Amino acid sequence: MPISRRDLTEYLLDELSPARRAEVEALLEADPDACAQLESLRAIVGAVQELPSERVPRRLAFVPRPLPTRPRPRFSWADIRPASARWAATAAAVALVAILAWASAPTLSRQPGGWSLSFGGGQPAATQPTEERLRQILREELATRDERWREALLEVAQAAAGAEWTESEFAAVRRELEAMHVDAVAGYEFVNAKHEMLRRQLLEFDLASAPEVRP
Amino acid sequence: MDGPLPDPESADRELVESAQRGDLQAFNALVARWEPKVYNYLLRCTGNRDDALDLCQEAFFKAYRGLGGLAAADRFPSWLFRIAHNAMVSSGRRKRPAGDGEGLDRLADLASLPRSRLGGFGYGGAELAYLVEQALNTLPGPQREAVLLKLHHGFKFREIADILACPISTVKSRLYAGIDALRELLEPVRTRSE
Repeated sequence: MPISRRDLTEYLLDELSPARRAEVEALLEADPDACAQLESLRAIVGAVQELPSERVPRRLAFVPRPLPTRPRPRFSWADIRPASARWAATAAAVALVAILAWASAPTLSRQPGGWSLSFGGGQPAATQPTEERLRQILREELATRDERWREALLEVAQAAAGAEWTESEFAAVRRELEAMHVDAVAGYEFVNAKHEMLRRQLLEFDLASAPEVRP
Repeated sequence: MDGPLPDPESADRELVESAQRGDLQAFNALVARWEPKVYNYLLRCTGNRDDALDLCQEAFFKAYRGLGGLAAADRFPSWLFRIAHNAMVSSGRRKRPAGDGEGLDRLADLASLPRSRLGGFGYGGAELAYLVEQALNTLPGPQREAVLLKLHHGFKFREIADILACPISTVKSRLYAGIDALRELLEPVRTRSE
């Protein structure tokens, strides 16, 4: 069976069956042209094999990130004496009433038919950041960050807007980013994790409505 | 005495198995061993350092999440490269081949460089590497990938078929076409330097 250039290539790459390899070796001993072809291929293969590798600019490392927890003292009713328990119960009841009263925002007003007591009449809690506030936060953050950091923050911001995060949630993520940025490797780990986590949200998020960023 | 060091395949297998049991440091050791290879593969395929770095990190995160599903630990390298390849393809960041004119002009320029009579081409290491990189850049993406995976990274044909999700016959045809094209570009330089 004649020896093709493919045979010579597979011979070089050690992909021939033992029988075929023996045939090729026999031919090479007898055929100077085949030897010249093999040398030509060897030079090409060797040149690609020995291409230098470039150093990875920023190495990746996975770091364990346990959630910060603070041990709580264990509560036991047995620790409370009867007299202090009564005081404690009274204080708790008073506090509960005060909190409910504050939270329900009672309003006493005079109506045409008499006095009226209404609840929940105050301003609604500002749980969502305004677009302007989000832009302001972003401007402050992006002004001092490098490009990759900006991208990560922008993604977080977009996701925050898309998922209607509260400002405090956004700030928590920002602090987390900030903390992770202390360690560059961990920072990139976090940024990538965040990127992956948010990808699904971003797919559904209308980028046209994302806050405009002007660092 | 600690005994002989394990061969790279055994070391990878042990690290994969440890990582599958939740050993994060074992996975970090795998990252340290394979990140340069995956990064350089992606760099040559995308032609862009930022893209290569992004895709490389994406590949390792996907690998980390999917490691539990890897049934055969000794298939980790080709499995990892398949993740990297898929990430690159799905991101649309695969480099287009350089135009023939540009690539050939550069090769012609390189052919006139002073020769140091080192290597099979009569060029010094850096010159030769640049020459080969330019020649690789003229190949269509699938051929370039087949050439790199086989010649530079040393995968077997069946492993490359797994990575690229194509039949072995397709891998071979891409590889031979790529080698022929490289030979056509580089052979005149080689013979002139002899």
